[in-house]
Amino acid sequence: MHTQTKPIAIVNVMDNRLFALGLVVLGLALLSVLALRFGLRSMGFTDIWASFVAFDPLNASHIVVQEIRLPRLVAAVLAGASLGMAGALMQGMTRNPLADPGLLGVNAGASLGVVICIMLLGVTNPASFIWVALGGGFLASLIVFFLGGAGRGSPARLILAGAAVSALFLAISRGLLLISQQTLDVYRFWVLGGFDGAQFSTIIALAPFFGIGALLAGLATFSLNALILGQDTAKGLGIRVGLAQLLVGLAIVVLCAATVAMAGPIAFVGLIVPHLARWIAGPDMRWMVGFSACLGACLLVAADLLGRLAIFGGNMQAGVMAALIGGPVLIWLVRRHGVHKL
Amino acid sequence: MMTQGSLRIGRFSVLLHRRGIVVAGVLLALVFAIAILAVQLGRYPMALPQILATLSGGGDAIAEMIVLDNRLPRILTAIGAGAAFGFAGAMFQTMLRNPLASPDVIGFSAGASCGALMGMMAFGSTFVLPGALIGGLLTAFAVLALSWHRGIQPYRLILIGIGASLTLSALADLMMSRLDMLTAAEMAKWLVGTLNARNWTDVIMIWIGLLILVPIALWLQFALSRLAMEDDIATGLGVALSPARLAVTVTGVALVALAVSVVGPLPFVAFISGPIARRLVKGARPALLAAATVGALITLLADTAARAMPVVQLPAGVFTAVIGAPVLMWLLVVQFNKGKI
Amino acid sequence: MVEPARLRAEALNVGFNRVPVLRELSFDVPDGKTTVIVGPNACGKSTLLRSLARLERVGAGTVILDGKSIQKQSSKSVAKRLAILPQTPTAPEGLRVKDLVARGRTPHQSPLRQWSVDDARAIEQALHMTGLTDSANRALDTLSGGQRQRAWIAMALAQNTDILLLDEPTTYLDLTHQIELLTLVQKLNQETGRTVAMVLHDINLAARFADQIVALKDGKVRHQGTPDQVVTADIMQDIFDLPCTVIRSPVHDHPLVIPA
Repeated sequence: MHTQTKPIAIVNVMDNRLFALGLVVLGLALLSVLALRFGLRSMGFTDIWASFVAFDPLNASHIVVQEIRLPRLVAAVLAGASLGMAGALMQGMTRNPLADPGLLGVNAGASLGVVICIMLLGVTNPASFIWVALGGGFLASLIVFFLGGAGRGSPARLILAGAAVSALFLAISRGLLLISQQTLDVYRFWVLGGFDGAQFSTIIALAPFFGIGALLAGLATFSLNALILGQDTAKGLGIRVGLAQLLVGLAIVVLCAATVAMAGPIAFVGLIVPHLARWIAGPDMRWMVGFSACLGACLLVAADLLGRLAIFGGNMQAGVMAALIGGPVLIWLVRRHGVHKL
Repeated sequence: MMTQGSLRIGRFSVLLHRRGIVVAGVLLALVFAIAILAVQLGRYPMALPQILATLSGGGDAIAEMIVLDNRLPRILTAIGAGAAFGFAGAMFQTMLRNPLASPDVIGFSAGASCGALMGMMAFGSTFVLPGALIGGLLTAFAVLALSWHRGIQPYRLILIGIGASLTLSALADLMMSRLDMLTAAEMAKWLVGTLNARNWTDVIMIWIGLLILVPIALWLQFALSRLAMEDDIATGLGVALSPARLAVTVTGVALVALAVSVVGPLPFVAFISGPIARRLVKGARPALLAAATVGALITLLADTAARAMPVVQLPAGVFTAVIGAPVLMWLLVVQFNKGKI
Repeated sequence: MVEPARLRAEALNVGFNRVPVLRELSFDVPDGKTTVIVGPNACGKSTLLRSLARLERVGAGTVILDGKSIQKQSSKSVAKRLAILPQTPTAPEGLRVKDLVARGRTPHQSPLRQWSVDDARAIEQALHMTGLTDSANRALDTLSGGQRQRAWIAMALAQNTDILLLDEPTTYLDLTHQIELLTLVQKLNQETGRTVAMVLHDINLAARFADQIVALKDGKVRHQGTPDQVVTADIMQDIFDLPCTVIRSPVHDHPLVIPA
């Protein structure tokens, strides 16, 4: 119980998590406006405003805003929030700071699914990848679930199972891609994806999954708070432990699957965001998940925005930018404010 | 039933864990058997008598080239590098009390990848390897220095390691996207780890390195098994936490650097050897020797598979997970059926 | 001339996150006796014990072991004379009782001396004293709470030290096992002359098993003495803000606190 912690300065300064959350949401709003404003095509705020209230189908700027940047923004917010929440849940469930939600096999399964789909079925239409990715992700996590003890194993066992399955599927994908150049050519764009070419049709198709995922996450958070106190205490509080763990796992899988289906595999975010959120959120899982969602959205919107700027060549993978931002921030936070264990 | 005994000579005694020795022995025998098999396989399959003839001086020039210049060094390098990875992975996992830990947690892999790419971009392909080593070592050092807080605190080290690892991986991705297609493809292969064109210098380097570092690692196993317990208990038992952790870290990094310098950042071996070994050996012990033999076996099998695959040339790095992961998965299932967690 | 106690705290100041917990606390651990530290929550009982065991960094003041500051002595040499059992200890998965107890021999071992005859004997003895000889090969996690706690005590015993510090050793144990454990500790103290200092949160158990009781409040030693001296209604009111009646236990002849 005696960890070497230093005062959580951010909370001390703000003294109110709600206030901090408000600030983060405000930041998100600000970033969103910036995301609409900046990009390869320059335009003013009036153009953006006009495209919402008085859309002119012949105005190129309006089209860019409504059909390119807005879906992109929405996708980034959805992906960031989902990955953030999934990451927070994953860390809460496994109590392991190295546990990334991708460890449940979703990303690896989705990637392999897409690769096989391209190679064996000759599918090249990115739109159909959505369902393959979803299916592959779910299938892989099912395997991980059973290997991990079908709800009765320890978290350590689950993450080992996940790591093994993920590594296996990724290696097979990589192998297949090295064999077939044509597959690589098609796959390359999907895996690099990010939010390039994000479309509302895709987002709407996946919206139910995001919705269900968020709902599950909310339910899961409640039980997770009790689980963190230890299995016996949780049982004493009326929580059915096996069911709770299943719920948490399901929430993570749905959120990750929806994200990977929409925007390809995005690495790093699910791992980094919960660590960043911890300093503000404290040990309460509800705040953790809430802050992770908002911070995740902020991070990915900012990352996507930066990636689109001309400086970086106009198109850089959002996950990569997120890590470039988040990594140094994490290091700075640890050095400045000490370690706050799960 | 005696599961452990000890060897006592005068005042000195060494603990011998029966199951651990048996497992390591069996794995070693497997390594030997696979090595014999591996020497025969490849693009030009050769029979054992022919190989033996070549080794004893007879045999034609081509056979000599294949066996002595190509296969033998490659096999010996694979075994050595795999053992080094296995040792390092198990050491980090035990010290940091985290099954997900590996030398990557200290950023070595990511740093090596970055360094390799920088070397390539700035100076050309001869600087890939030195770049990798410098990058890896610098990163490990930086992570240690940044996380130092009255000694090594595992949790702090992990968090800063994650930060550094992810940042550098992202940087590496960025750099990759800057390269032209050809160079990118070449680098992609190196970054996955390959044993192509190993020569006797590599063999000598890795085995001399092992000769020096393995005794140190085994010496540290004593402290390591105590470090696996909580800080309070370890301190109460008289273990000086930070010096021990520092020694383990330095030795682990040295082993990884050694391995990377001969096969590149071969993925997965360091990570998986420990968990497999611990499940084979049972009981809560670091099982360093077992981990090393598992690592050697996986790497050897991966390389053999890479060489023996007809039609297409895939780097060994692709096979490490394909071989290692199912083993772990099977062990998890087996233990599940036996009722263990 | 009375020899100074082997383990002493001198003007200790210990705090966390800039919150002081122990203030100028001076205390001698009586040699060869069973001392129990009591006090309200957050008074610093655990902190005191842990500081004595060099598990906590001391802000100001010193902990002295055998005449020298404990910080200036190597952890290993301290471990040969002082054993501590922290609160709710956890062991790696899959560890067997025998292995756990064997860990207790660490300060007497080194990479070249991993299993001497003394080690084997000490472990056997520790297992015998705690009644765990038959469970030696079982995994720790398969034992009941009471047995597990005894295994940890066995580890501390195997360490073969003159001083034994126990931080709330009875947590999570039911009453039967609490009594069992404390009886064992008392027996150890009486038969081997080990100095025992422990933190207990149950004042009545303290009154029954202690030779000396130390009552802390606000980071300082408020009262120290035999159970008869310390366990009085006035002192309970002072330390715990607990109005109570103190009677004499009809069974074991020690003060018994009945809360109002």
